[in-house]
Amino acid sequence: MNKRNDVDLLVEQFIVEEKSIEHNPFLSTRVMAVLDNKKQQNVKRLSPVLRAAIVSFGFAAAVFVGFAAGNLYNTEDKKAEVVLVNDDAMEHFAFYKDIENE
Amino acid sequence: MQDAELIQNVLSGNQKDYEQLVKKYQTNVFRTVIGILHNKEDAEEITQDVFIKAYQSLSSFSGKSAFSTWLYRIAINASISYLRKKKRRGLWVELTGFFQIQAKEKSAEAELTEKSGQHLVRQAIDGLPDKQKLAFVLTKYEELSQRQVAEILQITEGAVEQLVVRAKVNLRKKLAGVFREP
Repeated sequence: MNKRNDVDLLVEQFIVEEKSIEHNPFLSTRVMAVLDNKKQQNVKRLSPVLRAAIVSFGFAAAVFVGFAAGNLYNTEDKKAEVVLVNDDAMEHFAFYKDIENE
Repeated sequence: MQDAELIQNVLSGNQKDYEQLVKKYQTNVFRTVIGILHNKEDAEEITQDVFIKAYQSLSSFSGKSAFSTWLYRIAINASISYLRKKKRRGLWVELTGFFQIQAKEKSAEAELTEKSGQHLVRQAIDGLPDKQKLAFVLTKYEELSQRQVAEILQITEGAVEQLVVRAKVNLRKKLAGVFREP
């Protein structure tokens, strides 16, 4: 009977000692910090998608600007110059007249 | 604020309210985990994991049982799975210096006997079958009622009583050698 009580007492003593061990007082802070980090990582995970979207947008913008710049080119006022460049065309005497009148 | 209200706030994006839940239950979870693992550092790590897992699956918490019951279940599963992993890896480490022995004037022999006694108790508890160990830890460490333990382990109250009695008998058998008759 005594032996049984001694064993029970030893077990009780062990439990009391383990129960007296206190956890880190910053445990909740640590948990919240980990959760915050995970949240930020989730945002970072989206970044490749965002990066691809930004690259695609940039490429589309470059193409659009290219077309727009191309359309700005006006050939109407360049006839005289074209005549000068093209050797097969008739001489543009008005041009020489203009030069003479200078 | 009630648990249900805090959970609702967390689910609607107010993460800070989760800290209140952590603060409210961290000691209970830690005590349960240390009762299973018997190591402060491991218990702190698992307690942290328990709250992270609980946060991540909070949307699946239906509210049929109390939040604490749900948390105890996560803690038990995490601890048991940790022990199995540790066992598989063969990382059973002697936990020297684990016990916080108070500075008392004791003879070296008495101190040695006490240490070995505690070591044997730890081994004896660890040697219990999982269900007996869980029922024993929740009853003795957390001082939960049979009804609460039954709800956590999802068994009947009678089964809890039987498990605790068997655990005590097994512990007495295992530790009988500590107190040899002269």
